[in-house]
Amino acid sequence: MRTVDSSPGEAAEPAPPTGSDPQDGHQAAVAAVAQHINTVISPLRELDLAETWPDGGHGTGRGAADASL
Amino acid sequence: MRPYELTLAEASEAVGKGELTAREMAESVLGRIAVVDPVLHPYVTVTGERALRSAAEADQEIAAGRYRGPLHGMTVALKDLIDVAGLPTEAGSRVRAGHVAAQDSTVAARLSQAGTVLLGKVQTHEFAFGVTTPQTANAWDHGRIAGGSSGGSAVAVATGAATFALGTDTGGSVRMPASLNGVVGFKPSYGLVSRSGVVPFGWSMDHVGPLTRTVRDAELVLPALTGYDPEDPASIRPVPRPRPAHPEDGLAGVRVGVPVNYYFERIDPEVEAAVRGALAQLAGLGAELVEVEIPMARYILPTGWGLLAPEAAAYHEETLRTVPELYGPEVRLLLEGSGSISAGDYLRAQRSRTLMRQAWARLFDEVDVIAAPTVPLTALPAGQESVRWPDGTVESVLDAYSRLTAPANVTGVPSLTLPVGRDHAGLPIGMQLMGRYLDDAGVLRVGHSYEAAHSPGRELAAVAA
Repeated sequence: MRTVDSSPGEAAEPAPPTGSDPQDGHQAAVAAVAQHINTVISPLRELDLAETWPDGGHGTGRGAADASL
Repeated sequence: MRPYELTLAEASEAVGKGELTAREMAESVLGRIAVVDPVLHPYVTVTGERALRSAAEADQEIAAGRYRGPLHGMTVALKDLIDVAGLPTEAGSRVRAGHVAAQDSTVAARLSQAGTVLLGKVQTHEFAFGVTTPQTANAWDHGRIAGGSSGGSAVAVATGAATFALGTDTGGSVRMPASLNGVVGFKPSYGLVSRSGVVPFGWSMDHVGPLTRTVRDAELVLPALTGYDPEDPASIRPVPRPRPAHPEDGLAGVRVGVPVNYYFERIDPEVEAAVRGALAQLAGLGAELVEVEIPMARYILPTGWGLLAPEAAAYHEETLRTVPELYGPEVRLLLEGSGSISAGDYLRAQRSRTLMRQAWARLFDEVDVIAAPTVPLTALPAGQESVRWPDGTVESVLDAYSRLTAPANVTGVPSLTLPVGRDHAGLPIGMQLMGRYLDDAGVLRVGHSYEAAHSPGRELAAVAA
């Protein structure tokens, strides 16, 4: 917690192991994350989407404007 | 009972009757923050003087007969993704260090119009991309995660360090920490509450919602947040319907769907037992339990990630290129990896969501709500990175905690979590109630009925000074 006028502070990132190229290690870690996400979404490529349209993202096609409050 | 221990409904009634002043309420909650924050760290910024000024103004207005409604004089904390004019919005990230909002977000403005007293900003997992909020400790076990990304909001409410709070929910970030800290969290229907002035995570699944001590409190907050906002392209024009029967009337005629797939797979047995116990209690209130099959279950997480990853990567594209070193290592990796999703996969996810929304709409022809665990397990020890299930499956903590909450973000249906029990270690367990799109009141009604009969969610977490 801080008061509204004080400055933020965060711990520094951990240093990479001595002798390694931090950029190589980082790129490998990014590739691993990318592979994981692509593996997770891969079932979409088997889904029969036929003539289904994309929903256009936010703001369209979300149903009748009749909320129960 | 001290003022900070009151629920929103109780405090509101006391202030409305002149039995408690807003100033007394604010002083009590600020005193509680002074005890809680050094131990659990839910707050980023506390605006104590501003809160006391607002409370004094509320008292003057109420004394003059200008009572604004049930939120007048009530203390609130806002997740640090939500803009308040003149205050920092840093999203838990050095990338946003020094950012000060020029104007109120729509929800902050609406709460101000309702007469609330802003206590300050509460912690978020960096840019909402995570489920632990490592800056903050769990309210019930200080060695465990607060949950996320609205971890500060949940811990503040669970400890009495705010009467209520707002969070954001893109894959479960209101409901998940609410469940892990034993409070109520509500993700409204997509488009019902404006996101204008709120730092985005994934535009097409972002929601803003309240965290409260009780379902009744959530019912009081929601109307103040809703209303068409041209600044949010997803905003809808709600048309209030007559309220349903009073919750104490029971649940006769309400059909509660109990999933036979997906929601009870790979969950902790104690979580399953607590939720099935709550289902029996709903039946005892007159609800009809109906087994339902969750449609397209295999495609829920692929669709969610297929939407979220490219949207998050797109929002962060420029700063990832110019100041990548300012991101925390975990979120930087997630965002950079998220940039690998192709346009074709993003469109597949959108088309899948079209089918999924249609299938869920048909599901809600069969039942009024679906009841399920909110998350598959209670709060994990801080620092644990993965979960191994008895079937040998290993899941990242992020995937495990978002697996059961994400469907309501993909489909946009309203979803409520409320406490229904504790595990052997005393950690809270939540049950999730989902309803048909825009039947937010119906979902809250079922939750309120359960709460009125069983009321397990009122206890504040003890925090030693």
